Amino acid sequence: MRKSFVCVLVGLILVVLSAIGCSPKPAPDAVVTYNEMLLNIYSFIGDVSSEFYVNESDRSGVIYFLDRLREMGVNGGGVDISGKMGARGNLDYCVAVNTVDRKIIFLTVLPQSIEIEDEEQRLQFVYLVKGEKIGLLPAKFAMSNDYSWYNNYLDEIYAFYDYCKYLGELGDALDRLGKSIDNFRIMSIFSASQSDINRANVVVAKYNEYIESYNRQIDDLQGELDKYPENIFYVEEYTINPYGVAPIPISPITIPAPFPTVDQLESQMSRIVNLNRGDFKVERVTEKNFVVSGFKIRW
Amino acid sequence: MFLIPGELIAILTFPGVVLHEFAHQVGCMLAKTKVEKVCYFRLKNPCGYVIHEQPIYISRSVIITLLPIVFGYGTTIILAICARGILWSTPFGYSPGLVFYFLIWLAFSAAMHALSSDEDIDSLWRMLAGHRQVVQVGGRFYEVSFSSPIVYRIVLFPLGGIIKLINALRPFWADAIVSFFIIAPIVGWI
Repeated sequence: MRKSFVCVLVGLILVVLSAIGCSPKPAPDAVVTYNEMLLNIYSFIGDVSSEFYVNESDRSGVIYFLDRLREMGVNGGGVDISGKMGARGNLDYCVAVNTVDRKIIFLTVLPQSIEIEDEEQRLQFVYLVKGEKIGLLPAKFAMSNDYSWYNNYLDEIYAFYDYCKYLGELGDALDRLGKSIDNFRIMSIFSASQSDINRANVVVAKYNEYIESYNRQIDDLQGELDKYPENIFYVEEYTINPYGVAPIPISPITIPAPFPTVDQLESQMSRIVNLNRGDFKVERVTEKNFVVSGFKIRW
Repeated sequence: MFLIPGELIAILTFPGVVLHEFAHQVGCMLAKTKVEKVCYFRLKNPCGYVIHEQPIYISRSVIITLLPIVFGYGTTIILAICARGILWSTPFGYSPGLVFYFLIWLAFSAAMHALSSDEDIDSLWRMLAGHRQVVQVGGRFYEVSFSSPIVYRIVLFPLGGIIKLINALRPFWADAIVSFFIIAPIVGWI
């Protein structure tokens, strides 16, 4: 009787202890705003980045990162990320911090082996949602914690990328067209009829209009560039939608190929110049990123 | 020279191919590197493959590249020891039985496919040499140039060279000869 009582008592104690141990610890009180914290982290981001790189371990990097956060009076937690098939990709651990204005956020730092022009962009905001792919964005560009905001931002950024690419190709095409026109002028001195010369003059005037239009687009683009992180477009998972670029028809012109008629050129150019951002679709060609099946925060 | 198509050798020694790819997969799991796709065996060249992310750290790449050697030759040695046990317990003049030959076949298969492929070695060498690679972190791709510890370079460049040499001599049965010289002393044939 006494023996069974002791067994029950021990069992109860074990259950209570395990319950205490298993219950998630509450997040530490928020003491800094998001932007204050970023400014502080930027002062030691090189050390953290080096720790990730030298020890070749996300875990040791995260522990070091947490120590540095504690030194500045912020108590963070380590986050253990798990993915499917038992493999976790190149992001096993990150840091959780409770901020005054943004609540709990996740951060990581890119190791020094990764080449980045702007050192501040090493600090990455991690978008962690169970069942979704891991999202990364330089912390200073992460305006919201919301995963759907992140997705929309990516759509915007890649549409912008497509637009930049398109403008680049359009510029090349205009260069080629300019060379064709010059060549036509030289040829016309010897062989062209007056009607050909008249037609060419119309085309040249039109060409100048397109150049002006193009230059205006480039000027507008310069104003947009600062809104997006540098080097974020170094991606192979995304590609330009071929339908976005395909309407440039003047690229096949070779010298001394016949010059297109004004009608042809006008219709071609109107299709080009009238294209706007909405005409470009972002096409994701691969699904390489892994889905987060779970993550645990250890405060 | 007696040449046999690689596909035929792969069919005859398919457990080794499966073990090799499984070792790569385990390596990916140990190195916390996401496996995109695994093919344990097929009747094409290559006979098996594991597609995985490019690891962000050299040590992880080393694990993924070299684990098939550890698994392959480790399995070979264990199976050869088992076969030796059977052989020694067989009275003189009697056949050791089917189990013995089955173990020898498994051991030989594992040894034949233990070595890393030239592509794996080239990839590792590129990392060691500090060539730029594209890696994925989370959902993003980045360009990385690795700076490897000197110990890695001292050990892995020559080791990779030996592996590539054996691979180059496969038409002359180098892999089979190496396998034989691993199994035979253990079993007691030489």
